[in-house]
Parts: sequence; structure tokens; C-alpha cells
Amino acid sequence: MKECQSTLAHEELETLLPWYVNETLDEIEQARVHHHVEQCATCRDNVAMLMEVRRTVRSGSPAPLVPPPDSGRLLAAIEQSDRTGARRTWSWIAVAATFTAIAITVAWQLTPRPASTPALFETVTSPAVDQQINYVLEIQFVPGTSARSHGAFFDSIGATELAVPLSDSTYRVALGLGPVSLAELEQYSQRIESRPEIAAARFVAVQLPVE
Amino acid sequence: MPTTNSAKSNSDGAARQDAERALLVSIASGDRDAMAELYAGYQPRLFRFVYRLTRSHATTEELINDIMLAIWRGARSFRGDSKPSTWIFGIAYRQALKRLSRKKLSIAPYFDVDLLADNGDPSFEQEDWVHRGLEALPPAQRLAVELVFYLGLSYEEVASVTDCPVNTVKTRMFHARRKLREQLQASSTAASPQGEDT
Repeated sequence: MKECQSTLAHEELETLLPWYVNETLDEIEQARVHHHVEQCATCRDNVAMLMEVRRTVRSGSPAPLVPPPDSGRLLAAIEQSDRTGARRTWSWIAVAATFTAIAITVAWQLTPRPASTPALFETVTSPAVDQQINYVLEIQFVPGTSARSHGAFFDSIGATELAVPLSDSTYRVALGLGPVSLAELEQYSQRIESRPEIAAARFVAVQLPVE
Repeated sequence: MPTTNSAKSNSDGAARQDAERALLVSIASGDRDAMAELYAGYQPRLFRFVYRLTRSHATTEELINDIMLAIWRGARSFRGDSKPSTWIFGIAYRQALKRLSRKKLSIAPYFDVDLLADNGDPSFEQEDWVHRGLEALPPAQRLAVELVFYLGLSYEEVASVTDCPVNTVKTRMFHARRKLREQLQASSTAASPQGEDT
């Protein structure tokens, strides 16, 4: 007998022997294996053995007594499965909805939000509250301006509270201006800065009444 | 030596596949009559296949039920890129393995060899080494042999049914063949009684 010419071809083709035996290789593979088997004693032995295995597997085992198909039983099982599946689906939807609601609630609770706006801030235009709003103006007098001049200036702008000195020439005073816009505040500070005794003036805070 | 299938059987097979594909499409849309028709067509084949693994009528009937329900629920996932029979036996294979694994059962013996050894059937001795060899195979290799020789699947179909790469399938069959060869050699050695030499 002729030995296999190519070990590589032999190793590749011998893995196809089961399907050569069950005849499911395509025509090209079937022809290649057939050609190889004709020349290879080892593969011929293996083919003979596999054909014996195939014959035994196909006919050698005891055939079971196959009961007739029972479509009624199957359809009943399908019916029950569908009902169970539908119940399970609705159960899952309910569970999912519950978890979603809990998750949204927790997320809402955990989400950082700006501190709740004071009601007084929201009613800033209310006349009753307007009276209580003070704007804090920081004023820097021209160096060398006398304390008397400072007092005269505070009187002229109607400072409602005593000025708080930050230094010899810098004060903060509270002004009850009522409801004004930022633009109006800006104009107001510019007018003050235009006075000869004032080096700088700017609004630095707003005082809101606390209940 | 094996020969290629005839053109007629190929044509018949293609027509049957088309009919089964149409049934699966109908099943996917909830057609229970189509399900009953598919069941009637496959029940005998599935029963024989599963019974070979379980050797229990009750377990086989339960498994057939599970398989058909899996087909009913999964028909929409059949894309038609494999033969319907391959897809269906793939479900059968997985359901059978799942059941065997869950119950921690081994695949049933191929034959009750000891019982049949003394039955006087002359063909049995010839098949004895095959039975013993098949029983000695690991489940994956035994199932591969069943798929190749009982169902006659191609290596691509076995790969599809078992959800394994083709090379894995070839390797399983290679090792199965090697173990069967060892069984054959052991059987030949044992079958050379001293009495024959004398």
C-alpha cells in the first residue's frame, strides 16, 4: 500500500472522513477525500471503521416505540404557556414600573438643587416689602476729605443706616431705594461717582428683610 | 464508497425546506395550525433523536414538549440562513443538554451491553465494540457522532446545531474516531482467544 504522500494533506483530509462517510461534503471536497482515501491505507481503514459506526448508529440501537403526535396536548401547553407568559409579562411591566417610579423619586430627592428661593425675594415688587429692601453702597472718598464732608454726603443721599467705616475714607451705607433695576443702580452709582468728594462708588449687596 | 446525493433527493429536500420555512413564518405570526403541522412532521424524528439520549419515554415526551414550546416562542428568531431542520435540531440538542445537565444525568447507555451479550445474536459481536466505544465517549463527542451519523448532518450543520466553530466540530469527531479506533483495537485483542492459537 502506498503511504500518504503529504502529511499535511492527510491531516487536513482525515478530519473530513466522517462527512465523507455520511456524504455531506460538497463535490470538490468529496472528490479530494476520495482521491486521498484511494491512496492512503490509514484513511481507508478509518473509512471502513466509520462506515461500521454509521451502520450501527443508524440501525443498531433499539428503535423506541414512538407515540403518535398529540397536537391537542401541544396546543394546550402552548395556550397555558402564552397565558403564563402574558401574566409574567404584565408582572414584569408592573415590577419595572414600580422600580422606575422609585428610581425617579430617589433621583429627584438626591439631585442637588439650588436652595429654595425665599418667598420674600419672589415678592420683591410687593409694595409692603419694597420698603424693607436696602442696597449696600460702598463709597470711597477722595483722600483728604474731611469727616464733616462725609456726614454731609451721607445726609444728601438719604443713607438710612449709619455708615460702616472700612477705613478712613471707605464706608458702606445702606440705602432704601425701593424697587429698582440693575441699570438704575448702575446709573445711581455713576451719578455719585461724578461728585468731587467721591473717588469710587459701587453697590456691593442687597439687604433683604428676614422674618 | 459513498456517492453524492441524487438530484431528485436534493430537489425534494429543497421543496421540504421551503415548506418548513413557510410553516415557521406562520408560527412566528401565531398560527397554531402551522405549529400543529410542524409538530406532526417532526415529532417522530425528534422523539427518536431525544430518546437515544435519554432512554426514557416520559423524559423524551417532556423534552419534545419543551422543544416545541421553544420553537413556538422562538420562531421569530429563525432568520432562514440555515435549514429549518438544523435550527429545530439545534433547539432539541440544547434542550436535551440542558435537561441532562439539570438532572445531573449522564447520557443513557447506548445498549445494555451485558444483557445483550449473551443473547446469541451473531451480529451483536460485530457491533459490540461500536456500542462500547460510543458509551465511552464524552457527551459532546457522543452527540457529535449522533448528529453526523444518525441525523446525517454536514459539519457546517453540526456547528450550527451545537453553536460551535466548525474546527471544534471536526476536532470532536477526530477525537471520537481515535477513541473508537482504540476500542476497536482493544476489542480485536480481546477477541483473539488463546483457544484459536491452539
